[in-house]
Amino acid sequence: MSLEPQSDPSSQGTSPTLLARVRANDALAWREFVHLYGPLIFSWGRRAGLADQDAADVMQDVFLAVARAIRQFDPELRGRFRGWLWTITRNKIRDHHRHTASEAQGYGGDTAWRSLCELPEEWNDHGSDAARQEVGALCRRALQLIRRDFAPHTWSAFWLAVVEGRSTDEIASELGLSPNGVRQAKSRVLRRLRAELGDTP
Amino acid sequence: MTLTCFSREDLRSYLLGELPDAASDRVAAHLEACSVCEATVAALDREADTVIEALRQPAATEEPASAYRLAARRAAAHWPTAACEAVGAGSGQRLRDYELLEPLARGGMGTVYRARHVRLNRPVALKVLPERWLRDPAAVSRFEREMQAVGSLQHPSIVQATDGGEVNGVHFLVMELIEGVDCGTLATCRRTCARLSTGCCRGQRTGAPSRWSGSPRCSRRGVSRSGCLIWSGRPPRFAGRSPSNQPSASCPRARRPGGPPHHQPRGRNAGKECVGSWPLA
Repeated sequence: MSLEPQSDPSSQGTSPTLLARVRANDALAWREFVHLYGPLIFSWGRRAGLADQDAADVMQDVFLAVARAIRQFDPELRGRFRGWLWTITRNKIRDHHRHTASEAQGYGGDTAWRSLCELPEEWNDHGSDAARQEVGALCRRALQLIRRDFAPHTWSAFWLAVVEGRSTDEIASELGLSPNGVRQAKSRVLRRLRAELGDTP
Repeated sequence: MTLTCFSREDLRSYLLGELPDAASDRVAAHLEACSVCEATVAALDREADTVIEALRQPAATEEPASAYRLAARRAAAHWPTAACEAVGAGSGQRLRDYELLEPLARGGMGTVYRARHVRLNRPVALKVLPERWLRDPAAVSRFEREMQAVGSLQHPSIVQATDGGEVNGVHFLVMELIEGVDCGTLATCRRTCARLSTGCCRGQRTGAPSRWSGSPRCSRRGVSRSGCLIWSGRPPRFAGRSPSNQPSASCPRARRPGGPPHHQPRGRNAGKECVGSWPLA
């Protein structure tokens, strides 16, 4: 992690989430959003049988569609943001296959058709090992984005508890915090991470 | 402090960061004073969900493909333009000195916005090359040529280009804003689409003055229905695409009796007159 922690939301209030800033047309948020979700969308495209260049094209199309529609995204109706993003990506992949097939008849044949059929209708974080790895990588990128919002001790407690899986008592002793302080730190960062990823109900 | 103890499920949700801010703060305050709940939460310390399990997996260090890096840069650069299309009026999105107010029309080669020059406080029409075309160097080159062609033309029947440029890879062309309706809208409203499209606007008869025809920058296309703007009491004006390099006639002039032969409708429209929605020059 290269970003230095600067503040703690416990004392200064929770800063707006990435999605909120994207909706507000924050230019920096646009770039962070691309950094956060670009690899995931690209990976989805590759797993759907697209070549690097085609997956990159689909990724751009997805971002374009998201930019146009993100203000209409309603978590209560659409569920998690990842699920909504997957729906857009799946449609763009299908559009791409259709477009390619219409340009060159017979393109891909059974392979392309099989790839299309294998695309699940809904995204599932547990769907496969690859899906779990993609979600892990997404979470790590999101952590990079939110780390600056937490004080060092909060961040350390979270990291040791969640990523390294160490016991609460051990962390409390090491950092000079109470066990409840460790749990609170873990809870705060996880809550912020979920909000950043659009997982908050 | 909340006196009532929380359920095991609430405490689990607290640990996993699934509770809303206010509820989470209540649980945290309660845990400071309730040994029963603290014991429950201690037993749940090792609980994990998808996010936690994913974070405990080794991080992949695969270098992203160059195609990805390029696409990501482009996506980051061109998002603001795409977002403007969704925002509509009052978005306040800036493109250099121009504030984009609302999309006026979309076509294959761009989206035209009602915009405002913020320093001069002047309303303008601003055309932006669509993001998808930016991957195609030929399309970008064509847009550049169009800017040069429009910039080199000056005629009362042509919408004047006033500026053009590129901001963060977003190519745009600024033109005077003409209030009125385009030919396509008019045709739809009056149910005369077929006649207009074949006789007036589709048909390579754009009323180009003869001095256009010698310009090497004037390209091959005619004027689309949406590129022909009509407003009350004044001649139609053309926008959006370069005029044809063929000596040809606009609708009003084509209908003018006694005009030069090359200004008269040809083919199946020969001898026909356009519907009277075209004010004569």
